Amino acid sequence: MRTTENNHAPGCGRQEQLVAYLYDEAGGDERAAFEQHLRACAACRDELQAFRGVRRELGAWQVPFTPPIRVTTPRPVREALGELLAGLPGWFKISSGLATAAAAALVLFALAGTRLSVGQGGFSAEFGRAASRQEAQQTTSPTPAPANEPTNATPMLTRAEAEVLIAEAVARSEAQAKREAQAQLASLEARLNAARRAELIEATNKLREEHRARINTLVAERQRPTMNEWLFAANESQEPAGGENEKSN
Amino acid sequence: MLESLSHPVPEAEFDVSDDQLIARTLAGESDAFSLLVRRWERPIYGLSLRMLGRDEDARDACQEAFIAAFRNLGKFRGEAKFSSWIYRIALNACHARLRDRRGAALSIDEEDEAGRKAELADTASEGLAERMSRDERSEIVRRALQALPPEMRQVIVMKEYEEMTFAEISEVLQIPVSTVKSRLYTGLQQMRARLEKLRGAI
Repeated sequence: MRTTENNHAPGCGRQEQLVAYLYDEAGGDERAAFEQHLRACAACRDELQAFRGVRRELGAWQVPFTPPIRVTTPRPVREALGELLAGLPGWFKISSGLATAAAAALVLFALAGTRLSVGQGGFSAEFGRAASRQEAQQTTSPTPAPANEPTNATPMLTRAEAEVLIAEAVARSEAQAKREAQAQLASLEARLNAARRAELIEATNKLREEHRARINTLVAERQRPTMNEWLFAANESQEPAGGENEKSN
Repeated sequence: MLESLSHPVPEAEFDVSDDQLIARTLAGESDAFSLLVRRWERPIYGLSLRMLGRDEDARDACQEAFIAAFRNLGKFRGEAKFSSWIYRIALNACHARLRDRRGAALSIDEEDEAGRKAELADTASEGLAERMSRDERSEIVRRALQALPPEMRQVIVMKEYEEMTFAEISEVLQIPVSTVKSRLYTGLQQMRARLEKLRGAI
């Protein structure tokens, strides 16, 4: 087997041409010149062949799975609650526990703005009020980054740092948004109560009607045998008289 | 402050350029950014995975890269291509992670290699070199690549897997094309040596 490290021609000095040729990025003249060189240089021929083998090997590592990155922009609280209410079926609105839980989740979602999570199906990055945080950081940043070099001036966030940032953003926005959220929730609850009351009244009326109809049916059914009984009773009251007459006859 | 779209960005808008999506994101259409992410998540994840060698690390780096891109989108002035910019951000995220684990990683890699050698020797005793599965070959490549210095590795990854031109790699790394070529050459040489060493263990 070949030993590798010493196999290329160190003094050949055509590494760049060899690489350009290998990846088919050599211009016409460069290509022709290198092909001519290849005919004379066994070391370069050997190296070219070996590199082609390396490339084939590299091709064996394929990435089978790309995790989806979900980017969502939460709506403002008011809008989100409006959409929630509009989209909910009547029965859901009535069960205020569920609706309130969903609304609270939405409020938290809107407050948090940016959320990171790694799930079974991949990870998700959710952006919301990150823009406001971005503005804040840009104004406080002592050294503004030059164009196209964001990561040099603004250190990359580690996961922990990102989570801390998010927690801070939540804390900052919480005080501001608390009153709004409470008002929204109160309004939501009032509307839910109104809706629940209206639907309860409607349901009660409906039940009452059904009940009344049922009672009427029962009464009718009860009345029918009474009539029969009455009729039978009437017949019986006549028949025994006849029977007795027949018997007596 | 971002404003919400009254209607979502249609999925079919793939003829829209990256620059247009950036402009729309900056104008408040944050849904445009999600289209940008969908467009680039696959290559950025692939790059991160091959740089870091581990799925979980790659996910984290990829996530960090897109968050950093979103946060710094206002500083992107379109002088370079968005692809170069996001690749550079992702590579920075990868390098930061590599620096964090540098000390431990060296010893782990050496142990890994010893274990791999033993496995390969077992495989050889069964005469299975020819029938080595794709998974095993893939694992060898992964380990050989991980053992390369990151400067070489990133060039190989961008060239081989992302199929970028020398000029594009040069733009991402902001180094001369000749340096790209020489790093690629050295990287391939080292890969050749490592792969032959691993095959020699069979």
